Amino acid sequence: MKKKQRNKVLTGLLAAIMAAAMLAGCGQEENKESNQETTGAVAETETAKEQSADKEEISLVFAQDLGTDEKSNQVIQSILEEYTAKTGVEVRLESLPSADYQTWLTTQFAANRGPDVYSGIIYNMTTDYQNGQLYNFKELYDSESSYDPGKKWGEALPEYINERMYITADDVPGYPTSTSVVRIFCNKDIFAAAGAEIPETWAEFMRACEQIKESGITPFAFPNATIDDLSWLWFSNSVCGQIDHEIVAALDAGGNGYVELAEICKGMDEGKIDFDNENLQAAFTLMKEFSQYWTSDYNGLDRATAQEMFARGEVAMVQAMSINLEAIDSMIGGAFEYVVIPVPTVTKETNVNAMGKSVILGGQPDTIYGINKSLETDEIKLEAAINFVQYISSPEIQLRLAEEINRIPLSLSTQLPERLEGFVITEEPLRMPFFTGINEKLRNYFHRSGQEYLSDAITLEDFTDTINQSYREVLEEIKTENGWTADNNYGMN
Amino acid sequence: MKKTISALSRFLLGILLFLTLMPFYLLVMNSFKWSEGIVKHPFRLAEEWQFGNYVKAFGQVIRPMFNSAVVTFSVIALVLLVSVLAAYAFARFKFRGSALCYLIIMAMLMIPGFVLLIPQFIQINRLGMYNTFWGLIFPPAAASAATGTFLLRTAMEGISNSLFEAAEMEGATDLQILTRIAVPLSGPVIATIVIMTGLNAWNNYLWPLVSTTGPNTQQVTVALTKMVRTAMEGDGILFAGYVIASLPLILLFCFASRSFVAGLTQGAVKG
Amino acid sequence: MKQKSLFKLIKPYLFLLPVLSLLIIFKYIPFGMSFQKSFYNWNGANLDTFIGFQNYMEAFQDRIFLQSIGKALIVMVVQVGITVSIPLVTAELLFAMKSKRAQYVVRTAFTFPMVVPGVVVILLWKWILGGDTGVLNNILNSIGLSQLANPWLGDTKTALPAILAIGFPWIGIAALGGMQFLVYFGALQGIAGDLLEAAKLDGVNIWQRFWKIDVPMLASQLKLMVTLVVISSLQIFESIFILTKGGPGTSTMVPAVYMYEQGFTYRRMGYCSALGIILFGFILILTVFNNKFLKKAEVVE
Repeated sequence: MKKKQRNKVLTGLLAAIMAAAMLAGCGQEENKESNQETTGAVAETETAKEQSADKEEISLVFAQDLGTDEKSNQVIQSILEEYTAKTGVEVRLESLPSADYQTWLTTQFAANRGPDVYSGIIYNMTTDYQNGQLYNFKELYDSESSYDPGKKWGEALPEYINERMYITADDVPGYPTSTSVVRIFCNKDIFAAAGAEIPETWAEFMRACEQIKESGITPFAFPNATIDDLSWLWFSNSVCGQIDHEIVAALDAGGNGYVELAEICKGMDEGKIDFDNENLQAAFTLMKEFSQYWTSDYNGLDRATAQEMFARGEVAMVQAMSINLEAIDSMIGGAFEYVVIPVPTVTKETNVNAMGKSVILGGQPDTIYGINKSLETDEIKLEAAINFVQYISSPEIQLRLAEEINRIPLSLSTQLPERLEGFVITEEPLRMPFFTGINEKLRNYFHRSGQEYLSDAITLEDFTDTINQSYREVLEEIKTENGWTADNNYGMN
Repeated sequence: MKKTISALSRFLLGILLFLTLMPFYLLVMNSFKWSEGIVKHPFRLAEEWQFGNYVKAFGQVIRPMFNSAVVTFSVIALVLLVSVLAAYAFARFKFRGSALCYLIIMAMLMIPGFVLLIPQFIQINRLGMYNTFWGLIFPPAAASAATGTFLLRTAMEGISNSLFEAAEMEGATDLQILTRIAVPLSGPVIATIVIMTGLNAWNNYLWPLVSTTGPNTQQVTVALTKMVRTAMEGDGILFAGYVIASLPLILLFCFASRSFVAGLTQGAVKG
Repeated sequence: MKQKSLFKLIKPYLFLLPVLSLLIIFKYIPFGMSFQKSFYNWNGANLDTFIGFQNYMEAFQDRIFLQSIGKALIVMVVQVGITVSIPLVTAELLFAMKSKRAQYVVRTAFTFPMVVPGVVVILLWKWILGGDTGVLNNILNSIGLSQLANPWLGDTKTALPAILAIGFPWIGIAALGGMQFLVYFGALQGIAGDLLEAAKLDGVNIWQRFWKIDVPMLASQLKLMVTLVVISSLQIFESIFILTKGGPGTSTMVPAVYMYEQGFTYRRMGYCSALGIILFGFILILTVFNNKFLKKAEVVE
């Protein structure tokens, strides 16, 4: 008999739940509640507001990879609310966790549900543009911005950033608003205890590492687990760029001081790129020597854990960006002081061919805002989207983000706040993006074979051979995709 | 001899229990700490107990938990319904195409998840189920129904045929046999399916992430990854959120376990 | 009369209708779309050209993909081994306890950790497997076995075994040991009391009882679990994706991670679908073989 009672209860419960589900499912269409407590969502109130307003309500879906930092979310949210108060256009924020941002975007676009405005890194925005997902910003660059009048919008950017944004002479995927500046954080206490000095040159750097190692502490936490940790690619960029700096002149057919993708293809075909050359081999050897000062599990170490180790005082140095400042500070909790330094300069003491200037880790256009190409069919919405993008990339907003969440601004008219002084760019820009300027596939190849090279699974010769092969394979694909050949000068004019 | 074996087995059991409970302990322990405590000594008890973590987490997970509860219960109900019917068919009837139908059901489990993500999303959009509870219920239910049918079929086949025949001779319809004999005797397996389906539905992450938006349908797993916290607080709030979010699951376990045991004792008597 | 037998004929299909329609609408139709796209060069957006079997030809020559299948097989063997051993041993140990009350309490305690989501367990094991400061290495160092200490996840040779070790003793992991533990324990409790009594009276010791009574009675459950674990282990994804994304090098590259890379990182959706279809076919064949093999074992018993 108990069974029957229980069955009745269960059936009743079931019915109640299915009813609730149906009601809730229906409730989705109407959406009368606006739940302001939950993060990130200013709810779309279509029916209710539409009836009361006499003009048409425009609302935009804006997606950004903000992560879970409360401050960042709050700042962005208040910026959006101010915009709505100013213009009446509602902006709904989709804040995604970084790990799944790309998956989410790709899936939404596949079903034609891509957000109206979203931000991303240069590689993804370029790919998205080539996939026909993004609106072309070229004309916008040549006109004035409503929020930064007096000059062409494109000219508010530093020259090398501006150049980098042109995929071809006629295609621009979006507008960048910040750049990443990676610095090496040095624990002053550990340095002092080991009798080491904060290094400026590579030779000093190696000496300091040796001293710290002898004092019993691991010098550097270098995360090398996955591409997302970025360190190997960028550091190699810098060191290779410092030693093999003459390759820039050799490849820079266009003469703007930067080697673009088309020029890399051209250079490869003309045999000017060969990773077996002594300069590049020397660079890789330097990195290998450097790796002896890393934690033993570097191929399994990720960025977050590396920074935690630094905060715990277990290692003397770690790489981080300005946006990690607050997190690192709160983990350290005032236990020690630190300074930030750029990648040490490789001087002639270490290698006779060195340029003698450091090359930046980072410095590429970042937080690029793009507009969904499908908005081209709706002029009003397109205008609103453009207006919105110009607003959030205006100098005032960039300054605010610099002050509140430590993003390095790009706008030439923005002054860096004091706290970010250590992040002022003093190094040479990255003129030859050896391993980061081509595409995701090459980055993957380089990263994985790098792991093997560093851990002695393959020799230096094998490693350079693999990079050469990877370069050839990837560049062939790129040439085919773009229709570049020697005859049409690789699409350059 | 017996005593040492018994003591040894208790010891072994104790170690297994300890190792199994370790993640749970760490989760609870670190939910009371802030970033500094978690990063510096994850295994130790909290120095300053941050109960505020729970308060902050609660506000962010309560509505998603309700949403997840709706979806999870619905998925369990739907899975039980279709699995019981299907398993009964396989166990009781011999019919043409039974092997093929079974293969069709089983084959579904072998489709790697990513292959389906985008097509399933496009499909749900076409059916107009984007951002609805229906869109959250049906695909996971389809996936769990395959396992459910699989498990239930074996359970029902294990029930002695004489019971069914006796009932049939007394003029019972199939539905009656199903509800009065087959289902009660499959108690333990049904409880297992409830637990497994419940776990999978509750912990489902990627699908809710892409197929819903906004607070009305947000599932708890998605809410947890988006939970905002300050740099000072660090992951403690996230862990607190996980603990809160696991409470309904624990309730589900207890509820299912009781019928589990009840079904068992019944089965033992009959057996 | 005719009406009755017609009804009887279609009755089984009526019972199957709900589950089949659910599966067809929400799984097989998307699967069909995926199958179709595997013959295309599709990037999820503007590129969508028919290229016939090209994706498949490429897949069969793709060294990394083929190696990944090998890795998946390793995962399968290990996980099947885990599934039929530790949960069973634990269930036996629990079953041997005298007090039924205590059994209930301990069993419930074992099932609690299953509510901890997978990502938390993975995070925890990242701490444990960490290199210089990881818990495991610390323990090894302190008991004098420092030569065994390794950068587990950072070494191409130890990365995959390390990932497979996650969750030890796996009873807290629902799909690998938790569900199995519950099922085996339930089955043990279901073994008729008088059978066990008779065995005791006959003076059968525990070892013999285990092999002669317990295992045969649990045979069907064991087979069930093996089949399920074979299917799921070949699709392993989350732990590898979060920890190493297939690295270091390609030492932990399993098919599912490779598919994700091709589809979502390189945007080669068509190729990703083709890989998925191939993996599906592989699992299907393996499962059919598995079933035949298990059936033979049944006959022998």
